[in-house]
Amino acid sequence: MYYLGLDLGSLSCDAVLIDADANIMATSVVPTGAKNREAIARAQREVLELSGVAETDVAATVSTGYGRERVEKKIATVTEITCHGRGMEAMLPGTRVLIDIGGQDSKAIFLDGKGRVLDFAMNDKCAAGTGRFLEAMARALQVDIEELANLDQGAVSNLTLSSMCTVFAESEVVSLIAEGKEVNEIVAGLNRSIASRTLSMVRRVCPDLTGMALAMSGGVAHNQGVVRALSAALGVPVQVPEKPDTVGALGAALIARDRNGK
Amino acid sequence: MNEKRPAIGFTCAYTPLAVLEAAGFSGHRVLPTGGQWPDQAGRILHDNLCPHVKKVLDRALCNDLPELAGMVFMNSCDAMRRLYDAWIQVRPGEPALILDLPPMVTDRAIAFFAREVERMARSLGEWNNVEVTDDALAQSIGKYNQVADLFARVRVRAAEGTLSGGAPRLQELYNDASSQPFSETIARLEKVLTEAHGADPAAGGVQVFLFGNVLPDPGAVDLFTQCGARVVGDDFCTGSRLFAPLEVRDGEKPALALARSILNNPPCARTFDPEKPLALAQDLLERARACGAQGVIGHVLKFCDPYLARLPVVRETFKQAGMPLLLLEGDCSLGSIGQQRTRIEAFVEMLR
Repeated sequence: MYYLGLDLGSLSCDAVLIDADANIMATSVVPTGAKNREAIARAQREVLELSGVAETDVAATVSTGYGRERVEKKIATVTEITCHGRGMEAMLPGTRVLIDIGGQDSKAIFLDGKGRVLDFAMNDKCAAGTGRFLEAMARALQVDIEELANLDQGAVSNLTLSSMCTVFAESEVVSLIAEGKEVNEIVAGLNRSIASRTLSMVRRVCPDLTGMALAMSGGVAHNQGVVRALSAALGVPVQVPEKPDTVGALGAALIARDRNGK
Repeated sequence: MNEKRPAIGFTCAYTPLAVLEAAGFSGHRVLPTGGQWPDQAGRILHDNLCPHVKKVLDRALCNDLPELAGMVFMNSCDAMRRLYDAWIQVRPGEPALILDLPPMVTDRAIAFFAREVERMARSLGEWNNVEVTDDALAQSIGKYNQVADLFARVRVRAAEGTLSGGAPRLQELYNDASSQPFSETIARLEKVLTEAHGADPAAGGVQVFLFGNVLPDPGAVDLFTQCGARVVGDDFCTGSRLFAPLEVRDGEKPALALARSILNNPPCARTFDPEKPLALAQDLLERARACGAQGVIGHVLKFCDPYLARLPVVRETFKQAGMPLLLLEGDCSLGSIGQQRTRIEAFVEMLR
């Protein structure tokens, strides 16, 4: 028997299929787009095709993410906070502080070292510091979002962005370009701004990071520049699993397996 | 039983409701609910002001009010004072009164507030052409205490999960009671207590204690239920604080008894004793524990300075006590609390 976890986020719909021993059979990350039911179907179809598993062999599905209620044939919906905690424990065991920066919100989750949530802080009131924010900044800098990940290399100044509002920050980036600032300096400044904002959330759930293992999930974790800035701001290395955008879906799949009596 | 009495509007749980009844009126709490009207208060009150106050003013601006013989305001916080100032501008010529409410509980403060209660009694008597005697006031306090006692019993039913409809229904009962004569509330609650034990929609949920300022929408309370929580107690000015029992000592003037009891009952964050800065947090913690709560959810209105000032101490006190706490911020609407759904569900999952 197999278990499916679906994480319907604002930017991507992620699916993870596991077997009865919790081995990952396949993963899929597809853009959510405007029709999230289609994204769900596509992600689900992809993991089944990649693994060669028949849909009838999927014993249970758990959905998570902001669109978790949209998923059909699920046995339960579980918040992304719980799922990311569970998924990260499977990917990087012993993680105590988890930073999840997704498409439209960011979270700091304090774990007990076994994947169970002890506390959390969440910013879902504005897009500042999230995937949408980075998309807007990439647009202002006229680069691909993937390129942003290493554009901070070689930056030497300590340029900071005064505003973390997505709209105002975009204007500020345009102004910095007009002033002739180098792109790598601007990108490093953006990364520091995200790190600074995330730092306050992390401190709220875990004031003392001494000896704590930190990890990051969500699509923004692909951006090594942000990860470097976070590690520098926190003073602790931030680990990133191999597929950070599938952490929530993996957690959902594991919960589906648990709840189905395995 | 429909007792026809002219209604007096009020907006704060510190309002001495017994005086309204003693003067021949019934209270009508102007709740920040509804919303079929456009936001207009912003042209009178600045943007960064309590949404409770602004929604109440919106109702006045849009004539979304029943027939009222007058309004009684409490000078309980700066936002309430601003509401009174705006109200007398937008509804000129209508009787309105504001009572000063001491921020601390001392003998002098109680004596001062007793004089304010007497002033209220005189004013309301003039509005209704009656004399509010001590006997009438004592009788009214007795009826209020009957309501308080009945609510205490209904709360027990809600907490043990045998009140049909659970916490959302309890909120409906609070809302109805805040806008009808005591006698009608007494009859209603007595009937509720004779009902067979019903099913609580939140049965099996994680037991939580709610606190904050204004959360009158039963739909908002129901959202906690939908998220897997079972509300076993509350501390809201639109909930249990509205009908807290009044203590009357032998030989004490009713106005003094009212003043002393109201100031000593579970406080809003606006009442603060600088010598006991932890009092609010400790009181909430004790009450949550007494209810058997597994966690506590605080829901406070945006721009509510008194609560914002107390929350760091509440957070720290709960942390030291090992009581899980989730703090939410809203604007009185179901829409704003709906946005908090993931937080509430995650909190409940954390406590399971």
